[in-house]
This record gives sequence, structure tokens and C-alpha cells, in this order.
Amino acid sequence: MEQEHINPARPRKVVLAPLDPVHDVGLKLIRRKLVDKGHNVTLLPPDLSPEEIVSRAKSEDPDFVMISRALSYGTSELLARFVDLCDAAGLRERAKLVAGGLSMKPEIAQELGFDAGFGPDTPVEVAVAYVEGEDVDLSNGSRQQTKVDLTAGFTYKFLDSEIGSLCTGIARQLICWANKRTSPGVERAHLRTAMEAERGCSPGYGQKLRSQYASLSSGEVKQWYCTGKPVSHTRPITQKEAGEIQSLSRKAGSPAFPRSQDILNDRNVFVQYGTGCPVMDAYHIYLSTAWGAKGVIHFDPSWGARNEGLLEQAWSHEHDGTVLTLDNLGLIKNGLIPGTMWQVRAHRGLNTPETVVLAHLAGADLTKINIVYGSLGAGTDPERLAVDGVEAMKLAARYNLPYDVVTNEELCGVPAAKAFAGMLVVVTAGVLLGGRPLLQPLFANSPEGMITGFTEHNFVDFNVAKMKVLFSIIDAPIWPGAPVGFLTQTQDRSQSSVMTALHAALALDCGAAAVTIASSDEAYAGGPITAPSRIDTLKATGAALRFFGNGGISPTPKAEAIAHELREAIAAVLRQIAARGDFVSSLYEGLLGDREDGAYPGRSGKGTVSLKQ
Amino acid sequence: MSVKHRILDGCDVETFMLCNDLEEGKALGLRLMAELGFEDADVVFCEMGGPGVRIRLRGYVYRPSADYRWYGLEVE
Amino acid sequence: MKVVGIAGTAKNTGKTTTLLEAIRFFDERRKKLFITGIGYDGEDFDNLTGLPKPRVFVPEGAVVASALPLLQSSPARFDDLKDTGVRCALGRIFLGRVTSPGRVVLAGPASTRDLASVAALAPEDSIVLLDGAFSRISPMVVADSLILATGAARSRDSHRIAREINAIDTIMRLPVMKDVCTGGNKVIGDGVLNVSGGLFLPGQGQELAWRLNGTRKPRTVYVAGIINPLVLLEALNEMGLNRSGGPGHVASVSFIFDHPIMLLLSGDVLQWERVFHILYEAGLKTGVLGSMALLGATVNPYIPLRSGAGKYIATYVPPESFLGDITNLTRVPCTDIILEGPGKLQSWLKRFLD
Repeated sequence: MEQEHINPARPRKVVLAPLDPVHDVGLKLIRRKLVDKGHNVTLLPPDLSPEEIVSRAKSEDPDFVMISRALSYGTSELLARFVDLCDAAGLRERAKLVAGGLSMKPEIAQELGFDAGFGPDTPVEVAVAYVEGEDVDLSNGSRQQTKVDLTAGFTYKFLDSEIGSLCTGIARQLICWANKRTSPGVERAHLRTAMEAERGCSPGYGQKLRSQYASLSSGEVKQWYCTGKPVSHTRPITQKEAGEIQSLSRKAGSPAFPRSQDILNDRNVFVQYGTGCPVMDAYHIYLSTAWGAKGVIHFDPSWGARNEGLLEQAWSHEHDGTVLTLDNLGLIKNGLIPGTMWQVRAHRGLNTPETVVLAHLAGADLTKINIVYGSLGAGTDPERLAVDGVEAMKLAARYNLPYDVVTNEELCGVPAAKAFAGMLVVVTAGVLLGGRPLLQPLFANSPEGMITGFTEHNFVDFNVAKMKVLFSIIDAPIWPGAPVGFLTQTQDRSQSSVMTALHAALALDCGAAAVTIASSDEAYAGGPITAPSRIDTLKATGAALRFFGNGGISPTPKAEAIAHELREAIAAVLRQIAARGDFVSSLYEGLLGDREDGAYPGRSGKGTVSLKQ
Repeated sequence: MSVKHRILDGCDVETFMLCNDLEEGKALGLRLMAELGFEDADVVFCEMGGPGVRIRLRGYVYRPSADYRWYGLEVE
Repeated sequence: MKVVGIAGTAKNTGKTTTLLEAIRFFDERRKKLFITGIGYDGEDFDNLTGLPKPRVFVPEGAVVASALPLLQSSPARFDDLKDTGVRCALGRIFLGRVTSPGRVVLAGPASTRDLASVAALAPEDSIVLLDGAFSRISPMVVADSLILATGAARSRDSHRIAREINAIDTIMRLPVMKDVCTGGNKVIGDGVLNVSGGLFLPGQGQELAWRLNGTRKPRTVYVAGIINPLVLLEALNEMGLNRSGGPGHVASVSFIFDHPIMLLLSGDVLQWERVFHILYEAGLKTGVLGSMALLGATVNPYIPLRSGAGKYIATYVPPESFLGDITNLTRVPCTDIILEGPGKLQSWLKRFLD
């Protein structure tokens, strides 16, 4: 019958029995945990016959009988016979029967007739929780996944007053400058909000708004709005595809979705998706979550950065990046396991404010806004992205949507000090606008690391130094990446997985609120990322976290020295910008990264900013 | 339905091939994939060491946006 | 309400195939069906061997009891979902009436107590179909009638299979002691020795013999619980009954057991041949309190064989000769549904309905 509500404080009587001459290590571990929690545990000696176990268990009148046995075709019959004996002997009138061991899983436990089954990947705590009557979801051996607020508990106060005051001054100037300006990106964000509000209200909804929208678009997107001709390499999603996602969403929504590893349960590990096809994405998301991913990040096609405007309706794309439309997001959202965190981001370009609108309308948990990287490392005009970025931050604040601010310009060669100065200014502006930004420093072997020799002897010191310096400057959440381990992964999947896993473990050890990991295909450019490659790095990250546990990772004293050096360099950059008196000009003039560093102010959207009427 | 169509996207084959150099290893790998019936195959990783290459080959059964034959698998 | 169980003698003996034909039979006769299972059945591939399996298909109108997540993820559609209050390893067990037929994975109550409480929810005029698991049989006490699924996965030796079927049949045919008075899990009356907790450990037989040889000479021995034939044999040996013309005083002792199922749970079923032979020779009466009819046995020639590479491959013994040998050696009706079609099974089920 229904498992009664058990008072965890009440000691339970548990009989543990190895139905195996050698396999009782797991039971001894469970015994220790149960005894520590005050339960009354009897561990029977190994190698008793099923009849002897039943007889001895019966004399104990236990609440639980837990059996361990490595499973094979022959031994499963033995376990089934044991279950029958317990049943007929009346043991089950009171006791729950639990099976554990290699190859054991809930489906096999059910087939054999046990009340629960735990495999080798099940944490001992789950078995203990089961005994204590906590509502463990036995179908996946773990608790329900729940979303967390990555920004909770952070005050956003500057701990470094000099840097704080410099950032605040510069950020105020940026906001003030942007407030006077507008752009097609800003206009479209407002149009999109109005268009979506009208959707479904009347036939031919928002025709006027749509033609206005089209006039603010460019390239193939504009062509689609005007003529209906699809963007290259895209085609509408078919009924069959939508149906497939729908049927997958039923499985994903079911509490019984099988989980492979639980070690990532309380770690916020994100993976990116964006195969181009929402159906494939839905499967990749589903399996990534099954292997422990706590959150997923939407990647759109790279042309999304260069074209003014976003499409409508549901589309499949033959190349990397899944087209960013509200309909596509709606389909993908359907397939998310409840409790999965979801970041919707745009490709660092001309559609930043509208992406925030779509993220909000689609019900995403997070978005991404990057002014400096987008303008110095990703081809968008700095003035344009400054105007759009500030508007996007205002919208995110209005929607109470946290967002990350990334420093991927480090990948171009921009030194961390300059990149961090830019990130800190943008984050400060975000906070001043009422938002909840997350710092996203590159956590990798950056070109700077290679050139300066910071990463010559290890990858730990430089990355730890970055985290240290940021935590010493501001009380804000850090979500490094993205993804972690850039430029350390090779096409070898073992090497790639190990590098990703160690970077993730190090970042979390340093206090990161979350990490984004790549697949083991990170360095392979010959084709789309495959499902097993996603699992590779999730498994590896789980293993690395298990290995380090709470043991901690110690950097050498060099980390402290680098952190100190970085702090001074960040302050120096900020002083220069403050002296220049104009953030956007500083971007053009190379104060946050120049040609020598590998940064080039982008041209996409140049000349599109206008002063507000 | 061929079992191959149960593959979600790609199928990797990882092995050690005896050969004289990297290029020969890659060529052998691609021949192997052709023999296994993978039309859309590529070398993901190949490293020469000692008597041959450690090689990982990938045959894409479905690239994104293809007409997947695993559609509706659960439906009778 | 009538309850028929499909019990296997081992995994892969064809329970699902038998179940599917039984479902079809009752559905064609528009019987109200209530379907549940004591294990996990209907998945695409076997959990242990990885080999393909028949799927369980449920028709419109049938009521299915299975773990809620499995009903929810089934292509079949259900309405009137009701919580049974019983939980299994895969979650809460719900009842659902099939509104759109389709495939379902059956994962129902694992214990006799839970199975009884779920089966009690079946409408009075329905046929309850219980799907077995592995060689598990203890919850089948809930059933009125049983179909045995056996085959080469149990043993390739057709003679052994036939002997097992005969032994099970003998046990199922033990006379029901209707006139004994029971109460509190005991048989009440003068000269009754009540043995609680079963007889299934070595040494318990000897102890029973001592009690029978004691000063009070009981006329009836009632064993509540599981009986292992070797332990009973141990008692009979100790009583000197394995020799012809043993002690005279035991000639009047009758043995009463709970239910035929209790004789099938511990030890090798073939040992009962010897036990019954000795009891018969000694003229000792044996009976049971509960009863169950064995309708017939389905025979499956399939064997999942572990290859050298550690993988399982599907193999078969020659179906005709395997079935032929078994049929010739047993009095119980047998069929191979794939070889002979469902005709014989249907005739047993007709008998069950009558």
C-alpha cells in the first residue's frame, strides 16, 4: 500500500543482506550512513540462502529489507525467488523490499517485484532518504529538478571602492548617452512587443506593425517579411516535426524520465544547444538534462547578428544555430524537463533588445547582453551595440530577467584587465538600471594566458586569479565560460572531456554560480555536435566533481600575484576611460582592446543610431 | 526499419588502425566507414603513434533538419 | 469478478505472448477487462538481455492498472485516472480506462497484499488478467485460475519441462479441505499441530518429526506458509516413512497446507514427486485450504543465449518436437501459440468463462 508518511526522527529497523558472497561494500556504506542517522540496522553475513535471509529478516520484523546483488540473467531469477519468499512469508506486510547492485535500475527492480531499486550511480543519500520516507522520485533515483535563482543572495555592492566609483561614473555616462539615442534594434523591440500583444486578437493581426517592422529589417529577414521568401538554408517546421516535439514533451513532462547521473543535481551546469533543428534540439536538451545538465542555452544562427530583424513562425535551419523566433522557442520550451533553467540569447549583434523581449515572452529564465564583446570581437558597431545593450538591460530589468555579461573578447587576444573593465562597467550600468547581471569572465586558456606565460605551468592559477579579483571587486554572481575550457580542448574526445570537466570543477570550486560546458566535439568543426559528445562532457564533469568533492583545488601563490596585477590593471583601464569621459569613444579608440590586442570595432549596424526626437 | 535509423544523429567508430602514417590512417578510416555503409562520414580525430593511428570516425545518419526516420517511434 | 493469472516458470517463457492472446480473446467477446501485472512488461527491449520483446497492446474500454508515468507516456489514451493508493518501484499505480487503444508498459503491484487491493478495485462483472514476471508466482494466490507459461528458457530438456508441469498440476489438484475450521491463521480442532511460519529451512523437517513423535500424537498437521519439498522429505525421513511400512501411528496424520502456491516457492518442484509418492505409499492424506485451477501450459521454444562476446542472441529449440515431447508426457493441455495458433488457449479461456 501507499508508503506511509514516516517521521524521519523515528528510527527505522533495516535489515541489509548481501545475496552475494563478495558484494557487500555498498551495504556497509549504507549501514554506516543509516547508523549515523540513528536507525537500527542489522547487516546479515554474506552467502546466506534466500530462505535463510527471509527467516532471519522475519525475526527482526524490519521496516526495510535491502538486498545487494550484482545482476545477471541467472541471478535475476534468484532475486525473483527471494521476492516471492518474502511475499509468501508475510515479510511484505510491513517491510519494503529494496534491491541494489550493479545493473540494478528501477525498471528491473519493478520487474523483479521489489519496492525500489538502486543502481551503482545512486548516491547513498538517496537510499537513506528512501528509508526515512522522504518522497524520493524512485523512477529516476533522484529528487525533482528545481530551478534556482543564480543571482540570489548577491548585493551587487562594490567591495573595491576605487573601482566601484570609477565604474559607477562611467556607467552613468553610458546610460545618459544611450538615453538620448535610439536604433532600429530598439524600435523593433518595441514593435515586437506590440505585435505579439496583437497576435491572435484579429485576423491579419498587426499588418501595419509588421510592415513597419519590415522597414526596420535588413537582408534576407527583410526579404521574408516583404516577399515571404525563406532565409537561405531554412524551411518551415512541418506538422510532423511539431508533432514529434509534442510527443517528446509528454515524456519530458513525465516525472519518470530516466536520469543517468545525479552528481550534477546541486550544481548549475549549463549546456548550449542550437543544432538548427528544433526537433533535434529538443532531443539534445532532453538527453542533456537526463545526464545532469541543470540548464540549457539557446544558440541562434550567426547571421542573426548581421541581419536587422528576427523572423516569425517556426523554422528549421540546415546549419548551426536554431532560428530565434517566438514559435521556435515555444516548441523548444515544450520539451524542457520541468525545473530546467533556460537561457535565450542572441548572437551578439543587431537584435539584442528584441531577444530580451522574446526571452521574456517565451518564459526563459535568463538572457545575455554583451556590449563590449559584441562590438570589439563580434563585428557589431560599438555605438549601435551600446544603445541596444542599454535598452536591452532596461527591458531585462523590467521583466526581472537576469542576464550574463561575457568577456569573450579575451578569445581575440584582449587582455583580461581590459575585458574585465568593460564587463564591470556594463554590469554596473545593468545594476543602475535595476537589473540582475551575472559576470561571465572567460575561463579558459586565453591567448593572453599563453603569451604572458600565465598558463605555462598550469591552467589553474590564471583562472583562479580571475575569479578572485572579480569576487574582490564586487559582490555579484559569476558564471564563467562560456563555455569553460576554450582553447584547451582538442578533437580527441577523452582529452576534450577531461579539459572541460576540470575547468568546470575548478570554476565551481572557486564559487561560480554556474558553469557552461561544451561538448567533446568543441574542437571538431566538420559537422554538427552529436548526442554522445554532449554526454561525454556531462559524464566527465560529474566524475570530476565526484573526484574533487569538497577537497578543494589549490592554486600556487602565483594566482594571488596575478590577481593583484589584474586588479591594478583593471583600475588603470577604468581610470583611462573615466579620463576620456566617454565609454563608447573608448570602445572605438581601443581603451578596452585595440588592434594590437586583436580587437576591431565592428561595422555591422554602423550609422544606424539616431538621436531621439 | 534498419537499426541504423534508431541512431539519433551520428555514429562514432573509435579504433586503432595499423598504418604507416596519418594520411594512410585517415584514408583507411574513411574506407572502413564506407564499408560499414555510412555515406556521410568524416574523421573527427586521428593521431599517429607507434604502429598506427588512434582514430575516431563519424558517420552522420542524420544531420539536423533531415527527415529523421525515428519520428513517431513510440507510436504503433 | 474472475481472475486469471499468467505465470511463468522463468523469464522469457512467453508470458507476454500469452497475455496478448488472452486480451484479444476477452476483448473479442466484449468482456470487461481489468489488466495489471506484477512486474514490468511491454517494453520494446528486455531489460536484461536487450533483445526485442512483444509489446502489450490494450484495447478500448479495458481498465489498466500501472505506474502513472507509464500510463502518461503511453501512446494509448486513458480517462478516469484514479490513484489506487498503491506504490511500486516506478511510482504510484493508477487505474485508467482505455479511450484510445495502444501500447502500454504494465508495472503493477508487486506483492500479494498490494495486488489484492488493486484487483479489488475491478468492477464485479469484469475479468481480471494478471501478468506475471520472471518465475514469480506468490502474488498469483489472488487468481482463481492460472495459465502456466514455460519453455526452453526454463530448460531445453522437454522431459524435465513435462515433469515440472505434471508436478505443478498435482499440487494444483490437491483436494481442498472444505470442512476444516480455521481462525487466526490456524486450523482449530483437537489433535491439530499448527506449524506457523512455514517449513523451508533445513532442520525444520526434523523438528516437525520430533513433535509428531512426541507424547501428544496429532492427527492433523497444518503448515501455514511456504513449504520446501526437501524439508518435508526430511520430516518424512525422520519419521521413517521413506522405508516401506513405517511407524503405524502416523498412518492417520493428514497434512494441510495453505494454498498450492505455497508449495511452489522454495526448492525444486520435481522433489514433490518423491514427497507425494511417499505420502501416497504411507496412505497419508494431503490437502489445501485455498485452491486454484491450472487451465493449461503455453510452451515457448525461445532461448536468449549469451554469446562469447557477452551479448544475448535469440535462439530456438525445434518447436514441433519440443512441444510434441512435452504434450506426450503430460496430462495438462499444452500449446505453442506461435506454432499452433491461439485455438487451444482460447478453448481453455472458454472453459474459464464457463
